[in-house]
Amino acid sequence: MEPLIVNSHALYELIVHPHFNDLMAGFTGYYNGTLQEFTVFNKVSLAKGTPIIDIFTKTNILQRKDASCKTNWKQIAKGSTRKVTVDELYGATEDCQEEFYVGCLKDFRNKNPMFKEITLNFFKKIIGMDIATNSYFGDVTRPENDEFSINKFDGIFTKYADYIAGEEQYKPVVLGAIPSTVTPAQAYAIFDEAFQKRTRVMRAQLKTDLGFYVDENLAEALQKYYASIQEKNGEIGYYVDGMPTLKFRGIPIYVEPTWTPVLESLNDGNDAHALIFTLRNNFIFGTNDEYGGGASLNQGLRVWWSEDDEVWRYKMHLCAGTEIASPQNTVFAITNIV
Amino acid sequence: MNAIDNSGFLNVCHNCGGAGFTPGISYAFVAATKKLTVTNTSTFPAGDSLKVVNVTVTDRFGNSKTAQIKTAPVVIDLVDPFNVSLGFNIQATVVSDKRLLADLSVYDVASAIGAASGVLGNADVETDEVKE
Repeated sequence: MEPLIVNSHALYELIVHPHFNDLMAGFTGYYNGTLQEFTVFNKVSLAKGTPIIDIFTKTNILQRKDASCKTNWKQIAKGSTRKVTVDELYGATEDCQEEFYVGCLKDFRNKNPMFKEITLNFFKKIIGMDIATNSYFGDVTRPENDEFSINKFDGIFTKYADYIAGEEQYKPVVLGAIPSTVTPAQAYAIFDEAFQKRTRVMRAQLKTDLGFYVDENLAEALQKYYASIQEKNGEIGYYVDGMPTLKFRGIPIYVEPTWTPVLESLNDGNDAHALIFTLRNNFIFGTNDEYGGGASLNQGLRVWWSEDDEVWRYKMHLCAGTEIASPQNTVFAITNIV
Repeated sequence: MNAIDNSGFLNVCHNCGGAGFTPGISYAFVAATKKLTVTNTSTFPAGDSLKVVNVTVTDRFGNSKTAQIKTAPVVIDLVDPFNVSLGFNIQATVVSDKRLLADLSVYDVASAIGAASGVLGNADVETDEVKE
C-alpha cells in the first residue's frame, strides 16, 4: 500500500503557511487568529540560525569649524546582530484498528475511511494549534501544561522578556501591570496610555501599519466602553464572528483567541490580560521548508500502514522558532502572573 | 549507528561556542515500587549552570507523565493509569541559564530489550552558543 507522503515544501505551503497567511478555503475552521500577522522567515539555517543585522544610526555628528586643517572623524552608526534560530519538532500518532472497533463500534468497521480521515484532520489541526500557542507563549523551561503546548520552542512573550531584561537599544516600552479584572474605563485607559507612550518610529507610521494585539477580554472591555459613550467615530466596525472589529484612534486591534485560555491556565484559573502595541508584521516565525523526515529527509507529513505492527501511523516533521524584528518599537503590558 | 564516523565533523563551524557544554541525564527504575529516578549529570561552561530539565516519560499506550529537575534528582511515580508492562520512553530537554539547549532520550526502558537503569543518549544539541 502506498503511504501518503507530503514533502517538506508542500507541508510548508499547506499547513505552516496558511496558519500565517489567509487560511485557505476549507482547510481548517478551528483556528482563526492573528498568526497571519507574523512574518514567515523561511530557510533558517538549522545548525546556526540566520542572523538579523541591525544598524542603528547615531545622531548629533555636526561639529563647529575651528581655524585648523585637521578633521575630527566621527562614527555614524552602530551595527548589531541577533539570530533567528529554529528547533526541530515532530508529531506522531498511531492507530490500532483492532483496539478501536470493539463493542458497539464493531458495526462501524466498514466506516473505517471516515475515521482515518478524522484522525488525519485532527492530527493536522492539533499541530497547527500547538504551533500557535508556542509561537506566543512557548518557553522551553516551562513545566508541561495539561492542556496547551507551551514549552516546545521559545515564543514571542519569552523573547520580549529577554529584551526587556537586556540591552537598551532593544528594550520595548513597558507599562504597569494590567490588573486581573479590568473595567471598561480601565481598558480604555490602558489603550490610551499605550498610545501616548508609542516610540518616535511608531509615530511616523501610518495608523494601519500599527496594531494592538490583545486578548479577548481586554478587547471586550474596550468595546463595552465604546458602547457606553456611544462612540460613533468608526472605532467599532462590522461584526465578524460575533465580535465587532475594533480600532483605537484609527489603529486596528487584533484579538488573538489563544491568549485568554493560555493566560488563564498560566494564572491558575484567574483572568489575565496582555497587550502588545507595535508595528505590524513585527513578529517573525522562522522555519525551513527543506527540513523533513523519511528516507530522504524531505518528508513533512507521512501517513502509512505498518505491516509488522498492523497499525496506521501518522508522523509530521517541522522546525520552528520565533523572533521579533523590532522589539524596541513596542509598547508592552501584561498581568503579573506568578 | 553512523556508517561514517562523524565525530570529526561536529565542530565544523565559524564560531563554535559552548565548549564545555556536555548534556547528560541518568535514570534508574525500580520495578517493585514503580518509581523512576532521573538525575542531571550535565556539565556547563564556566559562568553557566542548569536552569531546568523538562522530563517526559511515555508508555506504549499513549500515557505520559512529566516532571522538572531544577537541582535535585526527580522521582516519578509510574503507577496506574501509566502502564509499564511494555516498557516506556524517557525524553529530557536540558536548558541552561544562558539558553544552551539539548534534547536527549532513551527508549524501551524496563522492557524485554531495554535496561532498568542507565543514561540517556541521542543528544541533539540545539544551541551550543552562549547568547551574549
